[in-house]
Amino acid sequence: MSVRPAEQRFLDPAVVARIASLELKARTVVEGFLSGLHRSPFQGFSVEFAEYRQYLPGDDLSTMDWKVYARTDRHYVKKYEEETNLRGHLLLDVSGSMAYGSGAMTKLEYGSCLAASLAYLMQRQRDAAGLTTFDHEVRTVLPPSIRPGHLRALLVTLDRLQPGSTTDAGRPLHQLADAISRRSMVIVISDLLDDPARVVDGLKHLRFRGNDVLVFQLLDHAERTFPFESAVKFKDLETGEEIPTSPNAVRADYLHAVEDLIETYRRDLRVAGIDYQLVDTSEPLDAALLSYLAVRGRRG
Amino acid sequence: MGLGFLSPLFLAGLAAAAIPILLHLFRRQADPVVPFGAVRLLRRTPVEQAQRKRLREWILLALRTAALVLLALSFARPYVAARTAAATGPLTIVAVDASYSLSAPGQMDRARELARAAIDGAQPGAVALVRFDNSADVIVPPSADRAAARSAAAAIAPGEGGTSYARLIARAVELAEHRNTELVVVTDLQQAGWNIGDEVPPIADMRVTVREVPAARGNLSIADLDAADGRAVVRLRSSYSDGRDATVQLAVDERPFEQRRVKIAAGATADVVFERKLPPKGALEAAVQDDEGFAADNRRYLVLDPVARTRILIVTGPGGGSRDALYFQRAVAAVEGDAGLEVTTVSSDRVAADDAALQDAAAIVVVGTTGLDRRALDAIASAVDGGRSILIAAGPSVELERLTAALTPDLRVRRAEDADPSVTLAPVDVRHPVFAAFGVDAGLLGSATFRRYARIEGGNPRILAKFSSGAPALVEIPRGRGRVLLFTTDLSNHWNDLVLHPAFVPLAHDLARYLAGAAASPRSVRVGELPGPDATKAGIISRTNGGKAPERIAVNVDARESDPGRMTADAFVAVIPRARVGAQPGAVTADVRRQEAEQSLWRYGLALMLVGLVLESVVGRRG
Repeated sequence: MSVRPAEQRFLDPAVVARIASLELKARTVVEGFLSGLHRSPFQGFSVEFAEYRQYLPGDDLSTMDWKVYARTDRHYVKKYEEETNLRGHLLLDVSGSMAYGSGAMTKLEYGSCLAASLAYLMQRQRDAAGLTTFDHEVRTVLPPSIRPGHLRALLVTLDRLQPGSTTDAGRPLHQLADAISRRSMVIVISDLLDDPARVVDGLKHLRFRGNDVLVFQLLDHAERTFPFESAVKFKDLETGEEIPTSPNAVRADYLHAVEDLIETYRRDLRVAGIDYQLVDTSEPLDAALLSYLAVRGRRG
Repeated sequence: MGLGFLSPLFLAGLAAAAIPILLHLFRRQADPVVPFGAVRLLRRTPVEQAQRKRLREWILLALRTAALVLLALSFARPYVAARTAAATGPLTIVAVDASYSLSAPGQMDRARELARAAIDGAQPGAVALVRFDNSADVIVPPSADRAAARSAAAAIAPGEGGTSYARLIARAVELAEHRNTELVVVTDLQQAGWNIGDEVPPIADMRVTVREVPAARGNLSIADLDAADGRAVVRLRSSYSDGRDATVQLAVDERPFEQRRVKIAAGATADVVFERKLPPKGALEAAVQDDEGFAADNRRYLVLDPVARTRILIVTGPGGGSRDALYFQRAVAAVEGDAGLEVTTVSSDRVAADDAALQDAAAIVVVGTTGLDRRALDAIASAVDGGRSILIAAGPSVELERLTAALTPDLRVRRAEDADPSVTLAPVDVRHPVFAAFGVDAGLLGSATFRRYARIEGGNPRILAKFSSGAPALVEIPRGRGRVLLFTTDLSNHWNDLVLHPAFVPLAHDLARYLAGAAASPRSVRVGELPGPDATKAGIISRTNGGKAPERIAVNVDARESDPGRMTADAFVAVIPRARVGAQPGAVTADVRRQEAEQSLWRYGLALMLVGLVLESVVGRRG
């Protein structure tokens, strides 16, 4: 399913990239996506949810919904995370390889935008979103929360992300698997340019702990097609190593390696019951959002 | 053998070969650095990519450099200097006289010894061997291979040709070009080898030395063979220092005919007249035995076959018109005699009736037209169109306008007018065959005075002679396959006194020969004068002439070669003209150009360059 063209432009990475604020990016992406969904024949997603209870003395006045009071002259407070349906953990790879981008956005920017959009979407659905960034170790952790200021804090964190160092997703995944106490939805956003065995092992650990795991593998279009012609020196963004290469001489083998890697993840994660989505950072974000909603929908 | 260049200046282009080297050095550090996220996957590709890239770069450098080098070399026009020629080194030309005056016993052996010694003693450099008689042939081209020259010199044998030193010198000058050359002439220094009228090219710095072959002790030769009153006359010549008895034998068609024994005194010439009447046709051979002298001049040949005479028809006016033809007819007969051109006359009123007379004539002379009707004019025009030549001589009996209107319509003729004062005649081009007899004495024609002549205009004829007034006197106009000659005055002592001057006879004869063309074939030639291997030896040969039946021709040696007269070596060298032309340093010789043209190495160079560029393109794209 795809959204209508008018809304798709809000999901076009080239357009999104021009929006300065990540919060605004996320809002633009999500609103555009949702308005497209509303006009589509596709049904089945629950996207609007609001739950209140009457104000009791002692409640935190910051949770008062003043709009409801203005309309009804009654005091109501909003429900918080212990009363939501889902806890979502957004795991974002910030290793050096994520800093690569041949188009409008780097993988990290795309990943950040995707994470922000998902967090925004979660908030609209009264799901709690948390953020963890990692490279070869966990860098930042924002536990899932539905507090009003939490999304802003999450977006600010995303907006200020800088690429880290080398990749070793296995260790942080295992750490997170041990740290997540409640059954949650874990969304991994990474290029997965790592040892597939270690990565899959870590993801399986998360799955084994009862979590729903959704993996978005972000790859730049150039990483998928290797469009280079003349001789260049490729510089590893994580190690700084420079490799002089004749692209025409290595193209076939490289593409074969890329497809092998993708197929390995696709196969091994499917076997493990983990949802996997390959995302080309030159393509709109709607496919990623739809995948999330599909998985979210299975949970009810 | 070495590599030479026809245009060495282009070798400066080799400097361009440094360009790819410099670019290679600069570009090696200039590969762009591209940050890439999936370098981990690149590491899985074949490890030798860096080594392969370096190898590819070296290959590309070599191909590009080679392409530029080949381009520069190709433009410089390289050639491999063959063993047969050192383009600028010293040259010794050993020329061996192989005329028949070296055919006496022992002479040629001595000549070969002298030639071998000349080859062995030649200056360092190339040696060439030339065999000469009435022509000069290069037996061994300039080469460092002296063994080949020695071997060829040992095989030289005398022929039956005479001696032509002029042809030898011309050949030597051709071989020497701009090189430091010595010409060694092995010869018997026969005086008859230099002929008056020979064109001898000047030699520049060529040194000429003579190795003299001693003359024969003596010689008995048949200097001439003729048939007079049906009987053979043999002229014997002896250069012996004592009297000799000789038997002269005659054969007709290779069958013995008669022989006579004669005594001939030392150094004398004797005519031997044979009594028996010769047959009307056949091939006559006279031979004399002479074991000590030259062999080639012991025989002589004469063809007895009757000659079909070439006929010239003079068209005269009726009645007394024969006077108009008288002078011309007698002038031609005086030179041609009974065997050459035959001049007959026909009255103009009988031309139409006697069509056969026109058909049988090789040429026509018109001196009278009275009674020449339309049919006759058409017949004459048709004869000219068919290839015959016609001479129209203006005169009181010639209706010039009517005749030229029929034969040369583009030519406008005005009535003859008196010339006041009288004019004289001068050739426009003395090289024209009608003035062949005059040569440098063409001024003799100016002794005649012309009182009256016809004026002509238009037609664009070729003017052969003019009057002193500037008016055309003799013109030539092609028509069909023949030609029309128009003499604007008469040949009959009416309008001028030409026929009374000595110049008239040779002029009339040359006019007649020119009109008749090459109708008469030679009956006797010298060895080498006619093409074909059968004309290189004395004997009887057969030739056809213009579609006619084959005719026999006697080939005889040049009797002058039997002349015992000798010159000194100094006199020989002194006769050779010298030009003050120094060698031009750096000049490219014709021999070098010939070598380069034969080898055309530049084509291979360009082809290799193209192949290299294609490879460079393929290897470059693979990167």
